[in-house]
Amino acid sequence: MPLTVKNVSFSYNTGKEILKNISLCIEDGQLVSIVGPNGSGKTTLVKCLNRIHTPSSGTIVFNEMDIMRANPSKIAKKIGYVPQISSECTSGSVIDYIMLGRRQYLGWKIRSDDLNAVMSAMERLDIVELANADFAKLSGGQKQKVLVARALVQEADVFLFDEPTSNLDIKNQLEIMEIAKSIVKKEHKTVVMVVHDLNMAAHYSDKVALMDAGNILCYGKPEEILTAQNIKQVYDVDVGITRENLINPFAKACSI
Amino acid sequence: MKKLLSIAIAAIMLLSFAACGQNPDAVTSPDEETSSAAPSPEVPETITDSHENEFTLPMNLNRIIVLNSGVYEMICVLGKDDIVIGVNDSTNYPASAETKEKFGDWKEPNVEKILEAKPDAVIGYASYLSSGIAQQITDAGIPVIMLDFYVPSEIPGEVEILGKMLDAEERAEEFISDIEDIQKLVAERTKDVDPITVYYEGYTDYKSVGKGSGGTELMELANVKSLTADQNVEYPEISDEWVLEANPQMIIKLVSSTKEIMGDKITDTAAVKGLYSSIVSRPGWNNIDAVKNGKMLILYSRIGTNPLGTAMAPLYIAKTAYPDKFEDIDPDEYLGNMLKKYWGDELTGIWSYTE
Amino acid sequence: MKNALHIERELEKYNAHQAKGRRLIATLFVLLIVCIIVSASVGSSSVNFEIVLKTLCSYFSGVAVEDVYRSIVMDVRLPRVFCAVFAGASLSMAGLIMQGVFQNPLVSPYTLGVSNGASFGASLAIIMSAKLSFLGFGIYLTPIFAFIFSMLTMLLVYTISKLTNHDTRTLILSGVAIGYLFSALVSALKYISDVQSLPELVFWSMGSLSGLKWNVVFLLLMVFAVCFVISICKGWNLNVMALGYEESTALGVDYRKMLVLSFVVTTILTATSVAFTGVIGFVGLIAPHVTRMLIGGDYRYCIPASALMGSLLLLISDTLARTMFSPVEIPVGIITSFIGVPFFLYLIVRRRKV
Repeated sequence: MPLTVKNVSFSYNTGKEILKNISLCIEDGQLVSIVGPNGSGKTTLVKCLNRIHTPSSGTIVFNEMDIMRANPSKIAKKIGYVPQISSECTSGSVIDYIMLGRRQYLGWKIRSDDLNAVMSAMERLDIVELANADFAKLSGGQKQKVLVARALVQEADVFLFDEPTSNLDIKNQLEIMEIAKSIVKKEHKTVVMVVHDLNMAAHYSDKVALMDAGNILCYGKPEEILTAQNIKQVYDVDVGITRENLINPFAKACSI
Repeated sequence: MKKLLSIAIAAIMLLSFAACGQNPDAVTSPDEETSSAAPSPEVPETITDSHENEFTLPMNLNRIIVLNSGVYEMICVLGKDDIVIGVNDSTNYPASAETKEKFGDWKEPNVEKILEAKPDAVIGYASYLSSGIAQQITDAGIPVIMLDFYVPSEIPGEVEILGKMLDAEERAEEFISDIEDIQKLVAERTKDVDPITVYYEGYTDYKSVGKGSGGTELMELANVKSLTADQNVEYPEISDEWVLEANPQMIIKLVSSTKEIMGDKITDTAAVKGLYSSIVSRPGWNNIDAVKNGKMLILYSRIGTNPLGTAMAPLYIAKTAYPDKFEDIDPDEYLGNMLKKYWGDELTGIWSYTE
Repeated sequence: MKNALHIERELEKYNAHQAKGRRLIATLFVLLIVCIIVSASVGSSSVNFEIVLKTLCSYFSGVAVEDVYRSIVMDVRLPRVFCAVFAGASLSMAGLIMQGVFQNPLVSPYTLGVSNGASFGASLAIIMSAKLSFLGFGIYLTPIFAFIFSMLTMLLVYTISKLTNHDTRTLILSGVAIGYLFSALVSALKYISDVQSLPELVFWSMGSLSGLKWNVVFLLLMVFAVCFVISICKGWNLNVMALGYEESTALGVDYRKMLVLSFVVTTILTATSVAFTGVIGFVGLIAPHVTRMLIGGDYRYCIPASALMGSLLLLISDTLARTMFSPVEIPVGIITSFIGVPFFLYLIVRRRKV
């Protein structure tokens, strides 16, 4: 059940083209990172995948479902979404917050199925003790985990992560990446993730898409894509690449 | 404050009225403070307006601006509308008003235009004219005379002032005495009655009149008992269930001329009938004695709290309240006479309505 | 094992919280019933609880009641009490939904200019009543005009916001701007109006529940009931909408459709009650806030609770308005603020302390 993106373009009302005729095929059970400089269209591409943005042209198909035409509730059952944590967030208990991920399964009343799903997602992310805390008062790392939990209870096949590590310390970054990895490895689901940190992308991804100015420059295995030459071309910085397989998860960052 | 003011004015008025009569010696005032205001041959005679500003007579007015429609109407009655060079925007009656230049709002007129016109005097609406604007006009050396013309007990005094100002004293006196004759007639016929209770409603639903208001005075003149006479608010909004329980024997409703359902130009009674039935069909009002007995009087605002109404409203009210005492009297005839004598109009249209 | 215990404990806590919402609704409901009974038993006439009870009984048994009392109870007092209940509920519910949709605590049902449009329509009807009499609306001329113009205002606001794809910020801004335009028009009407129409305009703009009949009660009830059912069915969607456009879409809620629906529901709720009662301020701002402070933001509980809260606030205020200086009535809007503000401030301070 691949997620196929064909000739997708996107522009805002102002007319500026953010995505230019993008085509991409995301295989099942892979962790795909989308990397590229600021403003290259990474986040926009991910938001097109579940129709937060509607592309101006092109097709997106997942598992024979035409994402361009499907209504939001159908998409939400297939594609989970982990947004970037924003500074302004509504208050309310963490359970309530995660429960919203089950919107498409909920009746008017909360059933025990729903509660169980929420609790097991929290258990998996080790945030059970936050269940009745006020979401607005959590730390950045905790919030990000709650958002991942909310996506988990969507019971989707594909998960979109929009810069999940950007405001986190190194420990939290690694934890989130490990969770993403386990979603892929243990449940054979697909994760598409916008990442800034090339080290993280290199270490965790099965595939990397390198974007520049609304185009996908290249798409493939991390070691093929994240080359000094490509990085020089896109980011205009000189880097040296070293490859080490570190065992200790807290020293996992491979230096490029 | 207002009450005091009106008493003071009334007292001064009485004195000056008597003083300009044939027999100034007849003025014997036991009252210390007012006697000082009594004119003597050496001191020129003065008038005092509603804001207690004094003006020395004669005023020799040839060009004036009037910012109070009631005052303008009275000036026409006194036959002096030719010296009026301008009025406020909403003064459109009597007909000669249409030919006058307009000087803006009655509360906030156009100061620059007024100063530019260089009138001899401006007559303002005492209770409403912006004091800042009045000051600006005064500062420019143009006297501003403040008159209200909506409180019945003050109206004779105000007519008097106007008469003196405009050098039309005789006509003013005649008008006042005609008003007083009608008031006397009403007082005479109603002196032995057992006053019936009345619910009085102004232009707005459930807005009645309390202590010191013009409507309350009109009812006193007709010797009927206003339900709300003791309310300390001048225009109180009255609870409908209270009216129901108080069960008034008569209802008076005043209709604004802007509604165009009554007036000299309206001959079709359909609209006023509609108003009548809408009042009768208010929740529970079919249980009120006044409604049961058909004692409801709808009055046109031109015979409300204004010079003509000071005489005519009590007559209409008393006739509706005590029909047996007024069997031989047709208020319309009195109204017709007044209109003919002072406005030069025939009585046309609908001025009052009962069923 | 340790986790299972944890989970159980947290679930208990959660259920306790949910129960709190249900308890508040039950409490408010009981309070409202009590207030209805008290409010129906007081007034500027001597009709008291006993007479009200007798009147109600007279329909089932042979108890005799004087006609005046019967009409005071049945024609005046009860319709007014129920008008307060449903108008308060409508305004509060409209305020709750709007505050949620716009994610802005300062929003009230009047923010988008419904009230200004209604005021303009009513003023027009009052001033031009003579020229409009051919329409044959009779005493309903003012409410009908108020309703029509508030709808027109909202249509205008909606059309403008549509140009920007229903961005909520544009919606508020265009609402506020159009609102100012209409309030300027009302001022213009007041300015050109004469001494005879002015009091009626002022009177209308302060709001009042007097003189309303049963047919108005039923109309308010119908509109409220329909909007209540729609909103409560969409409770989860409203909860999701609080996350904003992107996350709502990602969670499968058609945000724009919900926005339009909320817009229509709040407009109709507000316009209907404003048309009959005039502009009663504050209920729609304070009551939803107080509710949320007490039970949090779950719309499934907030909608009924804030409707009850609004009913209570308006009913208590109106009861005071008509009895404090009996038989003189004071504008109910003054009382809603006098009661609402201190209670609101108390809650804010108490919450800061905790």
